[in-house]
Amino acid sequence: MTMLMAAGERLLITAAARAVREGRQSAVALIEARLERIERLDPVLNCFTAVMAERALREAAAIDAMVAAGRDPGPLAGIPFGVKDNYDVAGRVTAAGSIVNRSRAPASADAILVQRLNRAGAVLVGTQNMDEFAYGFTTENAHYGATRNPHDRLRSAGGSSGGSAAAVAAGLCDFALGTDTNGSIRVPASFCGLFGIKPTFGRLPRTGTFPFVHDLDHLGGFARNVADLALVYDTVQGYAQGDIACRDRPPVPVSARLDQPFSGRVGLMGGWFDELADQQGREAAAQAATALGASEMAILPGAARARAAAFVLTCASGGNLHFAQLRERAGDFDPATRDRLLAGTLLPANAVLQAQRQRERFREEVSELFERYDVLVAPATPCSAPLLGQPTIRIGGKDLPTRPNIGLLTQPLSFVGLPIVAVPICNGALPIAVQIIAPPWREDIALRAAAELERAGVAHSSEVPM
Amino acid sequence: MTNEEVVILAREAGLSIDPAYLPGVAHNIGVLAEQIALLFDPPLDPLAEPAPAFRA
Repeated sequence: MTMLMAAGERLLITAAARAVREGRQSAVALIEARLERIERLDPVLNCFTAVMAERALREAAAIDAMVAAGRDPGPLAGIPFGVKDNYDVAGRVTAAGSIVNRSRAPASADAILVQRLNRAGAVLVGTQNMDEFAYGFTTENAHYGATRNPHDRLRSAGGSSGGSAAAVAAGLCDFALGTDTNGSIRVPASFCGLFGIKPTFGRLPRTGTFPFVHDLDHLGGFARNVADLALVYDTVQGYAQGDIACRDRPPVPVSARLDQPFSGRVGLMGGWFDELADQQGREAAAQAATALGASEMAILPGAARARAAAFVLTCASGGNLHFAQLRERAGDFDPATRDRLLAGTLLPANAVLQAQRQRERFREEVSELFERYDVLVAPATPCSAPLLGQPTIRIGGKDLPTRPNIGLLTQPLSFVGLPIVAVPICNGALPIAVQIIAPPWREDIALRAAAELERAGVAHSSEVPM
Repeated sequence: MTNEEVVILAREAGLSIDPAYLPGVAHNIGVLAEQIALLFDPPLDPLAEPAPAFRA
């Protein structure tokens, strides 16, 4: 058996797994290579909160043993992946980027999605850094430090799933799972130049993950190309108990259909999504929309209200979720999280109810738009990655506080649970992503549009020299 | 909102907030108030509701 892949060398996941399944690549050697890369680069990038070398090598050895015995370890055989720090890993306390959670009992089992990936042969190498309790867009964590962007180490990797995105971008693992409540997959995908998927609300079971905002939390993932992302998405699909919001719908595999040409009706989002993006973001969205054949600008007049509603509900729900701990030990929270959560506990019921009632109105507005379009295209972030600690970003001619405003373009869309694929466009010194937005339950359309952009050379993840 | 007003609100909510946190909390309430204002203009139809209604 030979080792085909050196540390950091990047093959399609399907190709790498095939090499393992056919006995041409040792899973142990593959994992050792990634662990060596983590050991070398993570002290600088700070992607991981825990590296699980012993578990990873044990699982990789089991895969090699299966291959030697003539058994198929699965479509993700030997592929190293990571999960955001809010996914349960058996035997480990799910800290969710906090120290408040350290007093909780260790998880008794892996999160459902981790179990499914393991059954497909993927190998978990560790848990990854995030904003405390997923409340942020920059992964500048007071307890675990900031994650650095592999494209420019002085810049943010985005958040809140920043450790996961930076790890994939730097080749420390081949894909990663994150969560997205208001943009926490799409923002880091944009800043790190990756493909990311936030499926329809209720598509993936959140069983075994730590919540933030129950009616906005989505699970999803990152990869360096559409085929990898689709393969991971196909692997984790399917109903499971333990998440009341998970809909009992049959999986809709996408991988086999990625090669089909995309020919849907495409709208380029204007208004809010145009005015609040900088030139690079607007150009990226226009480039993607044009490549997909868009001819019109689509408008969602309620986007500002939808964003406001998501903003208010997030703060109120987060405050409610952590109320007991805020009362007993507020000093243990990250200051950037604490003050917002405390404010959330003080919101009047009138405001929270009004925010909830806005959802139905915006959902109807979105539904009407999807009668005319199959996918919508919008920038994912107002700008490319800001510097770590940068206090403001310039949006629409105004300097706005960085942290709360990076999600301006993602928040209205997750408010109504739409499936979205973030697609990296390298049209500047730093990457930026656009959102491919599909109607509910049509992740397949968004992924096929992303594949079309990849084939056209418009979208691709950029190599990080390290 | 003043720090004193935050203290009164917090007391009603069953919270005792460390004085060092009050300016940050007051600031965030101000940010939230700007967003809340957007939710009331224009008024919602009385039939707009948040219930998890099933649709065919």
